[in-house]
Amino acid sequence: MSLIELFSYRLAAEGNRSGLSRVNLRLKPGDTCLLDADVPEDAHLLLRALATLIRPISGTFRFSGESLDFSDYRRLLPIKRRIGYVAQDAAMLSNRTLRQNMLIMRYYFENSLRIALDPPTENLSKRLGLEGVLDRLPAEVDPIMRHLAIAVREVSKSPVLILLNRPEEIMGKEGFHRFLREVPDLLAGKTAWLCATRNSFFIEHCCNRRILIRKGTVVSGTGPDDGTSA
Amino acid sequence: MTLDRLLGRIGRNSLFSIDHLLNLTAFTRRLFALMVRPPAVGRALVRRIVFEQVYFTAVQALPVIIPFALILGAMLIFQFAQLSGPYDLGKTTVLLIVREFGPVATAVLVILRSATAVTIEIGYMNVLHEIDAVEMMGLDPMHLICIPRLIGITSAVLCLFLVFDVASIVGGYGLAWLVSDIPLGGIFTGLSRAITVSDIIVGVVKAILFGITITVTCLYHGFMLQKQITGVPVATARAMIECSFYCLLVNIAVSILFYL
Repeated sequence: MSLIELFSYRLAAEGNRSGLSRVNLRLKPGDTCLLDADVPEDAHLLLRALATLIRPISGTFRFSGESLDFSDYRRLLPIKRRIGYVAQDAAMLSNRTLRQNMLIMRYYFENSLRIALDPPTENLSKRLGLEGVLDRLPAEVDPIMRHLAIAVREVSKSPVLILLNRPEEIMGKEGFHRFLREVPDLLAGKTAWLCATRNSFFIEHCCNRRILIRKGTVVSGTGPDDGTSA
Repeated sequence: MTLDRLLGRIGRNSLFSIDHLLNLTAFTRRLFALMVRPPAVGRALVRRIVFEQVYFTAVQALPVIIPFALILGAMLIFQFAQLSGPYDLGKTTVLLIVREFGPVATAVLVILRSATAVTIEIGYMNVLHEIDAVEMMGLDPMHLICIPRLIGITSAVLCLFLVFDVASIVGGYGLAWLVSDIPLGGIFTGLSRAITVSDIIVGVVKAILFGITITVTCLYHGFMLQKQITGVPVATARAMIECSFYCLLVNIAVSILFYL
């Protein structure tokens, strides 16, 4: 079964662009896709739409076979929780430390404030060089470190889909490489990836599919069972 | 033609105002629905944010509100004492400070100090995508952001109202006694004779309603902000004006309900 299906999806643009139209897209568990757009804003718009952060003008969004209802934001929260979103506009709560930001979901759902980072998240933070800055506020750390921390937070959600927009710019080239090397299980497992990047390592070694956006439409996909149409 | 335009403008403004009031009402209703039936999760985190909010709004405001209450209390008691005798002085103090001046002055101070901060905070959270980040974690911003502020600010206004009344009456009397030779003897006897249970209830009701009005209005303006940083000061100014206006309306409504 497909993880995500978009049918005749139309999205209004942010700014003075024309948006995306007639988007038909299917993502399966384990797809690692490169998102290649002639205009970077279109890639960003599609990623935000897949993160359910923007409502479509028309069309259907199916997540694990179920159509999403955008009329009530509360119905989207369980979906959002299963999607990792790392982009320029992905944020952390500015009045909480990086550690608290990583823990806030667990604070909430486990109903306790006396919990520590779980060992995999702690280890990933260490290996990405975040250990020394975990108890600082987001504004006190370098933007690259902040986005690495966001990536760790999103990965710690055990997402079924990871969306990345220009990770080499927001995490730094070296940071993105390290991140990819540290999450082999997620790359090889059932998590789907959609990444708008020019990073050669991701393109050559990780992705198994390419999704193209041209003139505001998803025009084609390459790779096994691309599931896209013009 | 000019009349058409004028009528058109009046019509559009009226529709806009009605729409705004209905949105505010719907927002308030949703907040109360969440308070009545809170989710089973997140209580520990929400409780912690409530405590933080009470600390910011009430405890940190004490060094501002106490001198303010002392000065205003002394000033009013000076003036009342020249107008009336000791018995009437107590009655006038109750009438004006406990019933009217205390809740309104507390609300104004909270609006100036905390309500602006809440609008700015939520506005920035909105513009800087922090609300999106909360949603991406699967958390309801209404539960995590709004409910703690509603409970925290309302509790803080109630506590500050009590502090304001005590500081303005006792402190104001003390200051007036220290720096003037106005006969103030018997003011407390007069006060105890003049004050009734309904005066205290009215003060508490007003403080609670002011707290709710201030929080809901500020949160609403913060959330409704378009994603532009330049919109934050505009939203803050609007929220302040609206809060003050609504608080005055609530004050009149409660006074009429209880005393007329």
